[in-house]
Amino acid sequence: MQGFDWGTFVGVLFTIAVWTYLYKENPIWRVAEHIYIGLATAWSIGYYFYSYVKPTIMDDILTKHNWLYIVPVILGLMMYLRYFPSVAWLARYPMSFWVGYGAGYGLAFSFAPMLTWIAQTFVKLNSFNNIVLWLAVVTGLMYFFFTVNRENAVVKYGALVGRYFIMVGLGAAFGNTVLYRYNLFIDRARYVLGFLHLIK
Amino acid sequence: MEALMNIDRRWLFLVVFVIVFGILIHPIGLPIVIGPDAQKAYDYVQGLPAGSVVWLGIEFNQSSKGELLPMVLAVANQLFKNNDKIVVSGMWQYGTELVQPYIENIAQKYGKQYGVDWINLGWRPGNATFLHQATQDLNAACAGVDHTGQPLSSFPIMQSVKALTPDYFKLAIVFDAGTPGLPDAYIPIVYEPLHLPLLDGTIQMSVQENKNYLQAGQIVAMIPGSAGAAQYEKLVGVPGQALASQDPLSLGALFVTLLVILGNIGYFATRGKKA
Amino acid sequence: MRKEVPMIITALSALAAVFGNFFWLGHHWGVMDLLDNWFNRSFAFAALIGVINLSIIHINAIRRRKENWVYSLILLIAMYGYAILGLIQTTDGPQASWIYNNVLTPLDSTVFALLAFYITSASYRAFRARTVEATVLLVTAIVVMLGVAPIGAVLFTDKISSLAQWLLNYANAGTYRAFSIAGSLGAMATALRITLGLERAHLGGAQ
Repeated sequence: MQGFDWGTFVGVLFTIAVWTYLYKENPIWRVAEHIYIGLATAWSIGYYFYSYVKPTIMDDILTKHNWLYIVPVILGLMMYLRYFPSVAWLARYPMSFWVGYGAGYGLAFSFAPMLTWIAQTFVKLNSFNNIVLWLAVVTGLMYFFFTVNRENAVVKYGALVGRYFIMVGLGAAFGNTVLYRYNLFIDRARYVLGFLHLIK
Repeated sequence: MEALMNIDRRWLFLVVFVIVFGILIHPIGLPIVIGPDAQKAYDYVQGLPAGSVVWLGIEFNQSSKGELLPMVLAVANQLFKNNDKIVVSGMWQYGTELVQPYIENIAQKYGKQYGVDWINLGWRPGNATFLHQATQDLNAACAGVDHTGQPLSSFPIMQSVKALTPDYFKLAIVFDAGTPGLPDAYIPIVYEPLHLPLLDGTIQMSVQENKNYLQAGQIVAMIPGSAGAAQYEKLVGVPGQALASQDPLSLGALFVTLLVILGNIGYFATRGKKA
Repeated sequence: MRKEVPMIITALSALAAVFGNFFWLGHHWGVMDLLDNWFNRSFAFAALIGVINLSIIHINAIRRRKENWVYSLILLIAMYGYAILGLIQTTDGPQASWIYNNVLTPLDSTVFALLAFYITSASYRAFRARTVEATVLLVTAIVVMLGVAPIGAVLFTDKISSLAQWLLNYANAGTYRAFSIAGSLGAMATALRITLGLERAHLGGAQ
């Protein structure tokens, strides 16, 4: 069996194990599913250790004496307090930092892209394509005007047109999703056929 | 007609298997026409001065590998062929490790050396905060190490690349499968404040959304999905998985179209009867 | 201490990002450099949470001999075995990367690829031209599918590709711009609610 590709053989077995789910739920699928969850959870442990934990403690704190790096260590470790009921509330502190800082990012960085989109909508309405683009943005937004009285004729008919544009957008999304999902399956099919030497 | 409408879905699954496996074994070789998006992306990369440093943002993982990995390989071939330098990193867990062996092979093919001509800074958590830190100080953002924990100071390429800014990078190519990716990280943090050109290699499922960014000038060009990747492979001259996938993809699209039509015929026929 | 301090931390962290990005002094002091660093590294030290949570659930299942407890055992063996291997030889080590390439990658990509089958079945059963709007959606989907895949040009000339491109580049791009603008406004409103302490879901859980 020299030269036999055991790695791909194992990969093909797991691929087929997942496909058995298409027939019906069964023990082979469940074994594959549980191995998948176990491995996916475990992978980051080794990765985090060598790419953050070790350099932060060994290099930044112990060698370079960069004491401010103790803060993320404490923040991260505080999360484990949630397993001790009497002090579990302390785990909210790091969570508050993560959520708060994330929200701050939303406030700090959402404006600029949005302003570009608005600015780029002020196109010259001198071609059919530009008119379509402009109409799609404006009427699409009208559809989302929930705070404006819909009795207003401009908003009412604008939102109606907007609904058709939204259908075009969702239709494109559906068509693209079909292609995307098929392509993922083709990738797996090629993997199996490649192992069987049925394709190059 | 009713029986046809209530057919066990597993028969449909079987047809999908037969179509895809059959056409992969016996391809029909449908002609690939280069689309305007892939051509523009290719021309942009070709137009970079030789020796440019390019950021490859691997913002996907195994789940989108079928669409984006062939694209990464075609682009890496083009960059190494043009003697450009590559810095790989990303915000998606698994992503950078997934592409590592493939890029290593391509680098060997062109005689490129790890740490000199390219480097893999690895997956970094934190999403937008990582990217923001990378625009300030790459070394700090990566805790001073590459994807295997080797100190960045030991790699010559990192002497001339300090941050993800136009001072050091000519282009960032983002292979993007969703969030974190283009709209939530690269556009607000890299393009808007710094105007570092972004090129988007996207999954087909995000094409409709990312067309907005293309039209608004926030990305310079786009490689759209597997079809775009196939065109790109053709342009670079490295036929690979994307080109080989276009026949089954086409038949899949045709099959789904037929099902939609059949389903509607059945719906209207049985609805008429019920009424 | 239990509610107020976390609310203050939330508000201060959010304001620090705004201050660090929009104000010269914030840039000068490198507020975001410091906080980005804390944010990114702190995750690494909390990484065991997932392992602990899964362990609690599955060790309980094994101890109580719940139905299908054998699967729990398999999960734990895979998880601890792979975590220890990664710690011993890094995730790039020979055995660790073998498992990554030949078990984890095929499993992950195949699970996600299953959706091709369900979307096929849904197209047949649920995709109906019941109204004019639904018909627009359906026709667009077909034009995009056949316009993007090479077979469209073979069956209907390259006019279908041009039509798909046009739809994507103009009618669709405009629509998604409306979505994006609306989405950004929503995201900013949510961020503001979190900053002001009106949104407190993250403070729930342990009392």
